[in-house]
Formats: sequence, structure tokens, C-alpha cells
Amino acid sequence: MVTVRLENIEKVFEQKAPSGEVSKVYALKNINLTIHDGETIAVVGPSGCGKSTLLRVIAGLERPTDGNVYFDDKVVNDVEPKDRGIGIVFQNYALYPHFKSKGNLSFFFKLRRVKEDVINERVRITAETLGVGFEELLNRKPGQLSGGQQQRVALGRCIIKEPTIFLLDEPLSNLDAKLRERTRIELKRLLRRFKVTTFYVTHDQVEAVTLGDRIAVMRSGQILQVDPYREIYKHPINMFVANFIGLPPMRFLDVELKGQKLVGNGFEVEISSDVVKAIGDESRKLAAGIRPEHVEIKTTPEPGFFEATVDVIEPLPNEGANYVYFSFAEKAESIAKTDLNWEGRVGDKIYVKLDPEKIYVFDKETEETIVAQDKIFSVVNA
Amino acid sequence: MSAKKRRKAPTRGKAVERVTTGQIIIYAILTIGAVIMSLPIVYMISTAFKPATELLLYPPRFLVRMPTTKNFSDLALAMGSTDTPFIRYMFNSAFVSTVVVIGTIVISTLAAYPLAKHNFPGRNLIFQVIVSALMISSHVTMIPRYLVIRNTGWIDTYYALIIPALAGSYGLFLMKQFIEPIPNEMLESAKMDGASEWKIFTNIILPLVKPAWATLSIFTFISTWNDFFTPLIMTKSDAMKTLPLAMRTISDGLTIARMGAAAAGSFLTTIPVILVFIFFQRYVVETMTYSGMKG
Amino acid sequence: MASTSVTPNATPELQASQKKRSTWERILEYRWSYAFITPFMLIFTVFTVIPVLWAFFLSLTYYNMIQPPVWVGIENYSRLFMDDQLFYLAVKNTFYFSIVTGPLGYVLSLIIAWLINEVKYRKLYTLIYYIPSITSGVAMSVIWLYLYNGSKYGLLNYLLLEWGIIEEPVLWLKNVKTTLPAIMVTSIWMSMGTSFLVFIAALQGVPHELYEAALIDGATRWQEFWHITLPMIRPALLFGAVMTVVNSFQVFDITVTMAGFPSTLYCAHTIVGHLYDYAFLRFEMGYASAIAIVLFLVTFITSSVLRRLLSSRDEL
Repeated sequence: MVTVRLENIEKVFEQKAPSGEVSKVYALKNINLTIHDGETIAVVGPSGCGKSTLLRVIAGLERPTDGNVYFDDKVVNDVEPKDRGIGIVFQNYALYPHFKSKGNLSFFFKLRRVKEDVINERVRITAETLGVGFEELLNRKPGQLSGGQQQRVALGRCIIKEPTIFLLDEPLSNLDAKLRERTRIELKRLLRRFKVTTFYVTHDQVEAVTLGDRIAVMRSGQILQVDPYREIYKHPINMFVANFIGLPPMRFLDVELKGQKLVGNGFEVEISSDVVKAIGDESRKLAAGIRPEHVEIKTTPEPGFFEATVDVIEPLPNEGANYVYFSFAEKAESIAKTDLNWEGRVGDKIYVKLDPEKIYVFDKETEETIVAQDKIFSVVNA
Repeated sequence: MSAKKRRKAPTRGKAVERVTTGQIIIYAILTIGAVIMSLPIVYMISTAFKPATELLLYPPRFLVRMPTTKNFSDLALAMGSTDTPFIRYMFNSAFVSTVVVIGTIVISTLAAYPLAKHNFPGRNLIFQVIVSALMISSHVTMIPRYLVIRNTGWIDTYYALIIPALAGSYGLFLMKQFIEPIPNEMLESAKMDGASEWKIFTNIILPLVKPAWATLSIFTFISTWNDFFTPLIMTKSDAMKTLPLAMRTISDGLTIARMGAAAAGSFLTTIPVILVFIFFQRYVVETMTYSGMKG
Repeated sequence: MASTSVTPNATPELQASQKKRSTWERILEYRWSYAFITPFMLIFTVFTVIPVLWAFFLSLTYYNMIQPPVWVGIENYSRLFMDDQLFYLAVKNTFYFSIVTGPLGYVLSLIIAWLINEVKYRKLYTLIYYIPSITSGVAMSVIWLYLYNGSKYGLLNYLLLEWGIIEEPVLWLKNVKTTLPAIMVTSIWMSMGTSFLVFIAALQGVPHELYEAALIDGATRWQEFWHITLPMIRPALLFGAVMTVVNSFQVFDITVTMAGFPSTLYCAHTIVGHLYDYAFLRFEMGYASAIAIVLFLVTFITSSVLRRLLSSRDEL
């Protein structure tokens, strides 16, 4: 098993515009990350943020233009992909169409002229690991398999060579919703069983949360934050992460600091003096956010509660809750979570209180977090 | 020491990785090969412009030092006893090739439309016959064609060179391949709007198949221009000869001294084709992936 | 009797309505279709269908165009196979030619296409390798005549003399031993044609993730070529093989231009040359048709064999 360390990784591409100008595109910038032995890191981010590129750098399919990749303290920048002990699952599986599934699994061994009976044994073990029904797939070519079946074969091809690192590039994104859920659970079972260092790329938060020991949020080629899910959810380091992690995505409210309060359009929040100090200057442009479960709704006015209108109600029976989208005023919207029995309707007037101990305050210009619930990120000099 | 990284040349415009020793060897092989491949053509161009003095040099020189266009003007005389100016052969080739191209495009596209989109009685039978015809090599039909032409009195006329050339199935297949993917719904809704078949053909089908015309044009033009056997048997008089035929006559009993004029003839026979190809070539590879390469 | 199968991608309503009409009604309904295909069918029938049938018929006759054809049954064929030494020579030459230039040209096209696929400037390289194939065989043969000239002025002779490889100039295109090989070189030079382009297109069509997967599995360049590239371009390989074979059997114009007609001791006499001889010099149309039919059968059988070989192999 292996510890992977990325140090100052940078990857630049040159692009020629139609006008002939050559510009530099930083697919990866300043990447520093350590994936501990046996850990699964789930990397999330919007399209084009560089997560697949990062995976390819670890695999050796791309060479970083700067920085080093370490496997267990050994620099592997110059080591070929085949010598890195990696197992990979591509997003569209990349199965060899002209080989049967068995051939796809055993290609690795065929290349090294491993004996037939050894290969068969390995295939058998892998089939067992992958569960019921896998043997039937062995004699069919990828073209004769469904998407889900192909995915299992791709997985088989990855694990059969007993790699020390798993690289999974959005392996579930081509499956339909039901299949995705089932496969996700299976995948978790596999990862736990093998305890292999894993780098898992996805754009689906639920996958990331289920499968990742830690989550890395990427944007525009940089890693913004790497932490276990709970930590990121509770203490995101900037507005982008706060909005990206956590469903539904966090809405931001423009606020100003006035004395001991955060004042927004149609509402106020009383904050502690620590928070006031952290913000520092009243002229600072601020945004506030809050998680839906920390918003209290009442149907009759009460002190500390501010009037708002219900915009949309989203019932989510799986979670046993409603998400109530409301607005204090124009462009001052947020979301509250209620239980399924809640009787409000769209257009109703409600009275809302934002829990001051759970509030998030962001610097609107830098987008950095000043305060996240109980954590103060920085004390500012004005 | 950096390891050799093998990388697929990118197909989607991403940056290429650094050059490895493997790559350098490949470039070397390809470039040397390219030079060797070009040699005969370069030699031809060079010789076409060589003055007589350089032609008879010993040791023979590859490239020309003092180019002249005299060979081209000599061409007419190099033909020997005939009165036909070389220009006539060029005209014949150009005329015949162009008319065949136009004719092929017209009748192939016309015929491909119903075969692709209509289910008329006899369609499958006709299609089978056309497919089988593809497999018959052209020499089988040459003799009977000659007899047919002879009977119609078209021997030694342009008709003989043009009309039979339109009987090939390749053009038909190419056009059919292009018409098939056009959604039937498009045609049906036009019909419901009251369009006649002709209107549908001209307003919907034609605009969509134009890319295929480029490919069809090039290949038809080239194969007609270079065709040696057909003019060989279909023409008798010197005035009706096409360029390949004329070149054959030149090659008979060729001496070094007349190489210059001969090369000039080769030049006029090959350069137009090359130019046409270069001009149209960007359409060709795209269409390659469409036309039935399933063998 | 009308064909009853329906257009594969017709809507269900269309299919239903088609089955209800009578044949004549349908023909009337489709009068435009017939109109559209008429120009092609006319020319095709007159110049392809009828000639094919006529060729078979002619091959069983004696016909010199002065008198009407006389039925001779298979006499032409027996004469061809029993009595015609020149025919055997032609067959021998043609086969020799095909066996060398066919596979060589094919493999060369494939290798060059593969090399080009690995580098940049593909369009330029492709162009340079492809252009010789679109030049007129006759026109370029004239140039090769210059190269192969039998005196010391010929470039090849000159170079070989200079480098001491030969003592005297060689009459490349007159010497029975060297004529065909010399022509083969020319032919291979011109052979990177349609098959070449098809290879290039097919190679570009291979999804590059497959190569990456193979890279990670640890394939060497050769293993990747054999196990991934070749299987993925199999349709193109078949197409190229059939095209190459068919073309090489029909060689005529370059042999005639380079070696003359007749060539020295008929050393460059080919099947098509034989056909031409009997049809248009001796005007024995029946016999010549028999030759044409034999040529066709040989080509047909060879391409069928190739098709079978390259089509149905299953791996792993």
C-alpha cells in the first residue's frame, strides 16, 4: 500500500486561439496533497476544474510541467504508468471491444506471458470478489453487455492486477440513477475490503460523501480544501466550497455589520462580539449564509423572527423533510428545512430566524470565510 | 535519465508532450520516405524544364540549372507525324473528365435518392444487381462495351469516352451512404406541406449531400483523367486521344534527347490532377469515414 | 411480382399502407422514384448489365466481328488452358507481380499510415505519400523510363556505375530478368492510394482511451499495435487487402509503357495484356472474352478468400 504525495504540481497547456495567439491554460496550479496509505480521497469540483487532469498526472498519463509526484517518498515523475502499480477505471470504461470480458481482464497478464492456469485463477478470484453473476459476463464481448455490466468488467480489470493505488475517474456517471446507487454501495464494500489508497474523481456529492474518507474540492485547477465531509460542510473555507458542498446549495444573503448585528434586506442577526471582532470593519462588504437545518420557521410573528414569503416548497420524502425556499425581500433568499408535516404553502407569510450560532459570514470581495458556525477563520486588521 | 514515454498523437487538439527518441526516429523515417516518394515527381518537373544541353549531360544531372519552357513548345513536334497539337489532348482529357464528373454527380445523386429513401417495387432486386456489378472488374465489360459502342457508331467520339464511364456504381454508393442518414421525418413533413418529389429532392436532399460531391468529384475526375484502357480501345484517330494515350505514344521509342518534351507531357498530364486534388482534399478524409469501408 | 420488403426506417403507418395496394398501384405511386433512377439504370443496363451477360456468352463463341458469332462451347477455355503458352506466361507474370507488389504495397501503406498517425503534420505527410497514386501511370512511367534508361545516361545506371556496384549499364527494361522487378518498384511507388487513406482514417478513429488503458496495462508499442490497433481497424484492413489484390491483377498500363508491347520475350506480358492482344489486335472477341472471364474469376476467388480470412476470427 502506498502513500501518494503531490508537491507543487502544476500543469500548463498551450492553446492556440483562432487569431493565432498562444495562451497558457493552467489546468493544475499549486497542487499540494497527500493521500495517506489506504485512504480514499474523493475529488469533487465543477466541469473543467482539473480533477481528471490530476488523476491523469498521478497515473502518469500526463506529465506535470512543474512539481513532483511521490509514491512513498519516491519521485515517480519519470516512472511509466505501467510501473506505478495503479489500477484505473475510466469514465467510459475503455474496454477493449474485440476482447471478451475475460480477455479484457487478462490482457495485463497476457502481455507479461503469465501462464494460462495462473490467469484463470486470478480471473476466478476477481469474479468472486465482484459478486454474483460475474462469471456469466466473462464470455461476452463489451458490445454485448449493458452499461452496468461493462462497468463491473472495467472494475474487474482494475482490481485483477492487485494494484497499490486505485484511480477511479467518475466510474458511476454513465449509469442510471438506480444502478448508480446500488453500485455505489458495492464500491464502498470493495474499497473497504481492499483498503487500497484510492483517488476517486466525481461530480456527485453523494458519491463523494459515501466513498471518501476525505473530500478535496477543486476549482480552476486548484484544490480549495481537503477535509472529511463533516468538516467541509461545517467549516468551508470560502463561498464556493460552502455553496458546492451541501445540498441544496447554500444561498447567500447580502449583509452589513452594524454594531452587534448583521443587517440584511428585511432581516437581522445578532452576533457575538467575537464575530464582530473577526469582521472588524463596518465598511466591509459581507455575505451571510446558513444551512437549512439551522433556520427556524414560525407561522406567527415573534420577537427575533423576521417576515418572509414562501417561494418554493421541495418535498424530499427520502430525507423525511421539506426544503422551503423563502425570501425576506427581493434578492434576499434562503432555504429552511422543515419536517414533512409542515403545512405552509407557496405565497404564505412566515416568520424566520437564522440561528446566530450557526451563521456563516463571508467577505464578499475575497469570497473567503470569516466565520463558519463555531469557527472563526481570521481576525482581521481593518 | 528520462524514461521513454509513448504517447498517442493527440486527436483533439490538446498540447503534444515533449518529443521522445521514438518520435524522432519516426519523423526521420517519414521524412526520408517522403523525400524518396517525391523524387520521381521532382525529377519530372525538373526534366520538363531542362534545355537540351542539360538532358544529354554526362554525368546526368538531377535538377535543372537553367530552366526553359522550350520543351513545352516542342511537344507538338515530338509527337512525330501527326498534325495534332498537344493542346488538343489536354482539351480532350479535361473535357471528358469534367463532363464525366458532372454526369456522374447528376445521375448518381438522382438514382441514390429513391434507392435510399423510397420503397418502390423492385428496389431490392435492383439494389442487388448494382451491388453484384461492383464486384465485376472492368475488363470483363470492356469487350462487350466496345461492341456496343461500335454498333452505335460512337467509336472515336466523345460519347464513347463519356457515356460508359457513367455506368459505375461507386458514385451511387457514396451518394446513397450520404442520403440515408437524412431523417425520414424531414421528408415526410415536406410531403405534408405539399412538396413534390422534385421539390423535396432539390430543396432538402441536394443541400445536404453537397459535401459528398467534393469527394465524388475528385475521385471521378482523377480516375477518368488517368484512364488508359478506355481511350485505348474506344478511339482511333489521333485527334480524339486523351493525355495518357498520348503519353504512351511518346514513350514508344523514346530517346534521351526527347526526354525533355516527354517530361513536359508528363507534367501536363499529372500536375492538373495534383492541383485539383490538393484543392479538394480537405473534403476527402472527412468523407472517408462515411463511405462504406466495411469491405 | 413486386418486392415486398419494406423500407427499414419507414414509419409504421407507411409500412401498413404499403401492404394494402396492388402492384400496379404501387408502381404508379412511385413513378417519381422510377423517373429518378432511370438515367442511371439506362446507362447501367446498357453498359454494365448487358455487357456482363454478353461477356459470358461471347466467351463461348468464336467472333471476329466480320462474321456473326459462332458457338464453340468451352473450346476457348480449353484452348486457353491447354494450348496457350503465352497465357501461362501472362498468368505467371501477373501472379509474380501481384504476390510481390500486393503484400509489399499493403504492408507499406499500413506502416506509413501508422507512423503518420503517431506524429504531427499529418495532412502534409499524407499528401506527399498519397499523391504518387493519383498520377497517371502512363505519364509517370515515362519518367521512370528515364530513370531506368539502359544507357549510361539513365540515372540509375549512372549511380550504380559510380558506386561500383555494376560494371556496365544494365538494360533494365529490356533484360528479361530485371524488367518485372523494375516495374514492380514503380508500382509500389504508386500504390499508396485509396487503401492508404482508408487506413489513415481508420487509425484516427480508434478511441485514444483504449491506448491509455493499454499503456497502463503495460503494453509495449508492438503489443499495442498487435492487440489493440490492428483488431480495431479490421474493416479497413479487409478493404485494403481486397482493393490491393484486385488492382494488382489488372496491371497493364505501366507494363506496356515501360516494357513495350510486346515486351522482350513477353517477360512483362500480363493477363490484361493478353486480353488486349486477342481482342483488339487479333480481333478474336470470343477468346478474349474467355480471358476476361478467367481474370474475373481469379480476382473474385482471391477476394472471397481474403474476406473469409480477415472477417471471422474471434479473439480471446
